[in-house]
Amino acid sequence: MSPRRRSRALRAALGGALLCACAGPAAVPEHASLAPTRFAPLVPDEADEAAADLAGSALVGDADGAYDAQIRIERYDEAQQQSGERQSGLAPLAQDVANSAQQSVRGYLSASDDLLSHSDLDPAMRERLEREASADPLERGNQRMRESYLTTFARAFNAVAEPLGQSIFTMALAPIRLSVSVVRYAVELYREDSMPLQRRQALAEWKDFLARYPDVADSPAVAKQVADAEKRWQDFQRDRAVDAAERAQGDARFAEARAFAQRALRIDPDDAKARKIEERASRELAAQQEAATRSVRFELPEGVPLAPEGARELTLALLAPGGDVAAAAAAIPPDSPVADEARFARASAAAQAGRESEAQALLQQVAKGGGTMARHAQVELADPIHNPWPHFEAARRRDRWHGALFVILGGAANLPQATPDSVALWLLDVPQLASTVATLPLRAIELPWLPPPPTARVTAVQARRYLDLHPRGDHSEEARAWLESYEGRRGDHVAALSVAEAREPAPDLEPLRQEAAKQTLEVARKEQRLDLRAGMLDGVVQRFPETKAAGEARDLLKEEIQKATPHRITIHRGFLLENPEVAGPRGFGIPPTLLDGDPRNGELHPDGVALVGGRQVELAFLAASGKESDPPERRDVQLSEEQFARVVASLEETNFRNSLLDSDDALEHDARRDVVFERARLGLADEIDTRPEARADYTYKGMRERYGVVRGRDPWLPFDLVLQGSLANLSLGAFPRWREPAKTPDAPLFQ
Amino acid sequence: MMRRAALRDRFLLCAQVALLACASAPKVDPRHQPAASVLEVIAVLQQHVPDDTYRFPPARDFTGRNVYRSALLRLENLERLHSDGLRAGQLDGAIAFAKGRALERLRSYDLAADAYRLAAEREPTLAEEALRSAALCDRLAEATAVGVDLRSDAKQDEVWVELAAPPVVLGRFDQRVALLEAIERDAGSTEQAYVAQEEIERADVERARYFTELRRSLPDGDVRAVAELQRVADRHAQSKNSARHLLALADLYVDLATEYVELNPPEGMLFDPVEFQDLVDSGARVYEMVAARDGTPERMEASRRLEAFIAFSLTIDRERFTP
Repeated sequence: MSPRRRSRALRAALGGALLCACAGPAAVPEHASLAPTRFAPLVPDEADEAAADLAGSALVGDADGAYDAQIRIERYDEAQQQSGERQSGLAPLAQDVANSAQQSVRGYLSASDDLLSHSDLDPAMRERLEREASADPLERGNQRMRESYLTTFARAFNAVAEPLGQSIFTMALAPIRLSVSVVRYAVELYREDSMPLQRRQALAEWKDFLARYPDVADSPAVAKQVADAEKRWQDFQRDRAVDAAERAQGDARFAEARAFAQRALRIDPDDAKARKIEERASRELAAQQEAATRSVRFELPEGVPLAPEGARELTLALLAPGGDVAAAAAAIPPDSPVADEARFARASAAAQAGRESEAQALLQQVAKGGGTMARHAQVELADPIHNPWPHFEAARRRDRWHGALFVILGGAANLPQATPDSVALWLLDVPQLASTVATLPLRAIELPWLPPPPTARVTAVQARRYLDLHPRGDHSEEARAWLESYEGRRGDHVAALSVAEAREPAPDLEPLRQEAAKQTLEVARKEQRLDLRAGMLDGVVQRFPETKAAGEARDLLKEEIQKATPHRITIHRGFLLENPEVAGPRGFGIPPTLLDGDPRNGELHPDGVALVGGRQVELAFLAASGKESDPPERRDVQLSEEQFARVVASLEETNFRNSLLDSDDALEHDARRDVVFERARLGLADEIDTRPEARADYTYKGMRERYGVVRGRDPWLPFDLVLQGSLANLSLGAFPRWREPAKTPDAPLFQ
Repeated sequence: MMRRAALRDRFLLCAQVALLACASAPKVDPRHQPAASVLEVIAVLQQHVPDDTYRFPPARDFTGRNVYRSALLRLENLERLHSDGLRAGQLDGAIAFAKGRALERLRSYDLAADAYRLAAEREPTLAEEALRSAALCDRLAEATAVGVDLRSDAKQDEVWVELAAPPVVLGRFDQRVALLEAIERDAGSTEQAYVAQEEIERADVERARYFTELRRSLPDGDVRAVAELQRVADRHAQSKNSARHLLALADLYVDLATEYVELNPPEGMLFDPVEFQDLVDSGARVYEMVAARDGTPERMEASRRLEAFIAFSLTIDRERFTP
């Protein structure tokens, strides 16, 4: 080999080696191991002994003993400080424990308030004390009232600031915008409940306070507040019942009107308006009852025989199976007193023979007449259960009308209720109609792709009723075609497929089967329980074997079976890095090399570790390629009972402390996970609960993984600065929008 | 001045008298006029005789009454008022037959059979069908008498009620359903097949009710009660009452969940979150199924009960029950 060729080969070999080094191959351990940890027993010092005495005294309610022990701890710390040695750090905790030994809860809260003034408190302890203080019902009630005032102020502020800010480039329009905004605010104020959410919450909290502390100094003042608020609440409920009664009376729903009026009278027996409605509704109901009773009587009109000519023959034809109703009805002369009955009988015979249109036409003819049969024909035609087709057609016409209105008027198509406030609000939006009309072509284009309007649900009910009654009726194909399109447009392809399968002739089902399979697969993916998920995936494979989704379902099912473990409580690498106490010797005891970012000495995959059932821990390592995107190499290791319990305790305590230190890292409850942890602490981890619904599936993620490197913070300003522009009216504005207080988690219980 | 006032008073009096004379008695709304012909009643009844009352709710007339009950009332009124005329007009056989049709839909099978027999006697045209229907009604009456009724079995002065053992009870219900299924087969495509289906459904519901009411006393009573209600819901998915059967099943799950919490407080060690979650999930799932059924009154019931059930579950500690 020439020197030149040798040097080229050497360069190539070096280059290759360099490339290999850059690829970053990772070392995957043959077997995983976690370091078992042992700790030497601690020799208690004087502070430890005082802390034990303090705990003992507090538990038996010995406030003096607790106070003495607290003083001992403080003296110990002073002595340590004077000698330049490390203090115990127990002083704030000791004071909190001594406070808790007091007999009164309010005394403890007051003492905690003093403790919170110390600047050297541990942040987690400060947060805990603050939360306890804010859990006081009086404090919570007062806070809700402050929020109520703030909400009122924020709405008034925004009603003025927004129109002014929108007019900074068009000041000439400012008076108009401001007037509209103020009127809108006034209408909304009028519509608002006299006891809005926060006030009702406050009332409940004050009542709770009085029940707990009937004899404290604040109690008389709170009792007066409760009495005032309770009166307001009762008045509000009475007014609401009277309003509902008035509405029901206006719509001639007298039974409902009477019920609401009686409700109002139970709250306030002297309410004149409710009394008047109750009396009128009772009169109307009595009249209806009397009319109904009269209608079951039988009265032969004067001069009319009991069985006019042809009546007996028609009666028998109607009752006898296979009777010739048409012939018997035709024999009755048109001027007979039972001519309408004959037409009605022909309609019945036609309907029973499946001649729907003929029956419908005859019934309409009878319904238009003035005789006693007209009422029966009207009921038959108006019955949506036994005669659904006309109702389907009417509902479909209404849908089309709504569609047309939407194209023309956009949002203004929703006409207001016939109440002054609703009409006023609608009228305030009318000036925007000009810009709405301008965007008409856009709505016309998007209409076919929009989901069906909410009114179409009624149309679908009628279509289904018709198909139930007449699966092979005159209009069954039309009804099925509509229903298939409706289900498809609202995204229920499985339902659309089942409708399409019944059609004659059957349409091309292939695209629909693909969509239905995809939809079923999506539902299966979202299922939390492994056994149900696996069953649903298998269902996709069995029912739609030829579809693309079936292939995906097959792969997923295979993966599920491979990964199936009694539990899967995963702790991601991100969480372990952010919480070294869980990864370290007091937790899992993961060797530091597995978390040092160097794949050459082995590295955990981002999936981290998982508790998979019993005392088994599954470690996920970076694959040999060193790429995080590649599936990890998994290795199992079994922990001792003691270490497993310590891991669980460490996880829970870390999670709890984090929740105190970071509001974004709130405690997440998971009953199944907590059962696994509870059993681990009791040394029962090996007794695995094999019920499928007992499987715990939970993941601990790091904060950076959840929120990224930079997290949004709550703004310190009480308002948002809004920059708003509109192409429709070529306006640009900027204004502050005062934030309304957020609703508390228990708000749904008051709404 | 006095004369003018007297004249005015006289004029007003005359005007009032004239107005009163012109006013007629208030006219009755035509919708509420009494029935005016036999044919009216029979035509309306016959319109609904073929109705599948197992799958669809029975029709109502213009007063909102069940159409069969309404027809029966009118026919009975007619009989009271015009018995002679009916005989003369030879309509009494037809009326008896129509009453039989109405009565069998109102579950009065013995009365229906009597009415049919009378019709067969009076009206030869209808005799064959009347006798066939009478025989079916007799069999329906016989079949529906078989079974167990907890309420009628308990006598007022008894402290202990002796109950039949579950296998005996099951045997009785099986016998009843077998008789009814035979009637359904024999009824063929006539409307009496729907009546038999309704009775089979009632028998299944009564059987489930027996086990539901005794679930606390029978071994594995809760499981058995759930299985029985599930059986009713499965067997009668086509029935007009299917939503109601599902509601009954969901209600039982709610009762079981509530009792479970009462017996095993959530904060205690005996509380099994998995078992409780299972009850909650099952109840909520069934309520959701019913709440998704547009156009049924049970939809509203299910929505409200689901809401109430969720509110109840909110009282359980989050770490013991995580929705």
